Amino acid sequence: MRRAKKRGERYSFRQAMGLAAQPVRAVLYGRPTLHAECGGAVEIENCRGILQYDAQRLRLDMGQWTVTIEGDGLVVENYQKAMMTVRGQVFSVHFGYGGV
Amino acid sequence: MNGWARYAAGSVRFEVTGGRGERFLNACVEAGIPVEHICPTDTGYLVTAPLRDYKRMRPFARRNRCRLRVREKYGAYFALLAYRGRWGIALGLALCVLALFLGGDLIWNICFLNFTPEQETAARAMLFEQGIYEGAFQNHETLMRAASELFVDSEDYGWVTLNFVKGRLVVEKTQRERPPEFISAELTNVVAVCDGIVRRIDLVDGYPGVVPGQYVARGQVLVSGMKLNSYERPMYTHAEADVWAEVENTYRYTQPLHGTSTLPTAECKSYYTLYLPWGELPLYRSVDLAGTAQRRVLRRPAAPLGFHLPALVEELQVRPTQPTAWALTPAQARDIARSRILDTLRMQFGEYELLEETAEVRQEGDAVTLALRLRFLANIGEMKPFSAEISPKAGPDTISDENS
Repeated sequence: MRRAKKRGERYSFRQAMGLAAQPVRAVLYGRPTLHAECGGAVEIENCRGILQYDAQRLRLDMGQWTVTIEGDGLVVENYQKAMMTVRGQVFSVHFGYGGV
Repeated sequence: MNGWARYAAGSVRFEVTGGRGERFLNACVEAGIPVEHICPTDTGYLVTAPLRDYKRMRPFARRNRCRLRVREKYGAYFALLAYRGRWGIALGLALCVLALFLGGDLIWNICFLNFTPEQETAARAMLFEQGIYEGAFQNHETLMRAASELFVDSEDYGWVTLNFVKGRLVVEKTQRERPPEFISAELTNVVAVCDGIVRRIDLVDGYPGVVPGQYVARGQVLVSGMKLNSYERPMYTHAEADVWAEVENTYRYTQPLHGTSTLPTAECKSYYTLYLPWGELPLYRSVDLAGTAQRRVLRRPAAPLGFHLPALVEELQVRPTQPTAWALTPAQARDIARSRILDTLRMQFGEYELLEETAEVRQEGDAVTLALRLRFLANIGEMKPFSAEISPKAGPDTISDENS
């Protein structure tokens, strides 16, 4: 039995142009996005999941990237499929490649 | 989610300990369970989730070897959980809603607008006779009839309306503006009601036959309604005038010093009757009307602590009377006699100005007789239908004595 090749999720030109078998909404709005407010709130769209979470560090799976938010008193206010809201005193945000 | 919706749906705040907490949260979100307010603790996480989704979390927790412990419960479900099995509360609520539904035409409160306290009392009594009071059911015909009765019974009302709005009956009226009275066209003479010396004539119409300083006798024409002109032809008019004259008269009044009168006692008994939507409910066994008791009926809406109930409280105050002996000192008897004489003077002449007063007191047996000689200024003119021949009549200058 031919085993399907495990591939990371990528966004190709076909997908971006809507030629692939996925809805336009997923193409246009399905990309992981990070919104940071100066007040200490960070909104993350299309996060795949939480990799590690404690009061000083929150590591998120964003597909091909991982995002690590470091701070103090980090609280996940809202966690849904398409949206996550994090509040707290954010000191730094690190981006990493790959690495689930 | 706003506060009310959140309270209605209910939520649970629980602690996730042990196992793979992050994966548990990811699994919950992947299954469409929204989790909120995730706070890391020393042993895991504190998470808030909707009540309806909490049971769905159990398999994910078991799969990720996590343990869930509920810390806080919030919502209407948990608030009502304490009343589980107490069907009386729900039954009472249902009966209350049913009573409100059936009592749509029930009068809970009557509000009077633009009424003085006296007018309100009279209007309330009239409405009670028509069957309209707090706790009574109303209908359109009754209200229309009562409004007409209120309007017809009183000449002071220019417009009366009864508006029933959500259990509240508003009685509203406007005051009738009275037009000024026209001067009568009746032929009259102004004649003197007693002897006196004319001091001033306030003439409205007519031909005065006397002048100030002139002595007039009782029955004499003071202002005439007819006058002959230069051609000896009569000219008629409506004679009207205030003729102020100085009158001197003697009044006598005899006041007994001892006597017996039937007077109300200090004891007052109240009997209450409650008028409810289904009838009246007496709160007493029997009314004791001993002898010639004085009775007074007071009606007021039942409003404990200011909250109006659909009921009317009728209070019947009964004050028994009994013969009471009384005794006066001569000074008291003299004051009473003087007061009665001045009352008689006011009834006879209306306004007057007392110029001189000479009293003579005489005690005869068990009574005091006061002979009061008064000199006063009063209006002695009285309008009478015109008569060509009105002769002065001599009358006694003494008012008869009267006892109480």
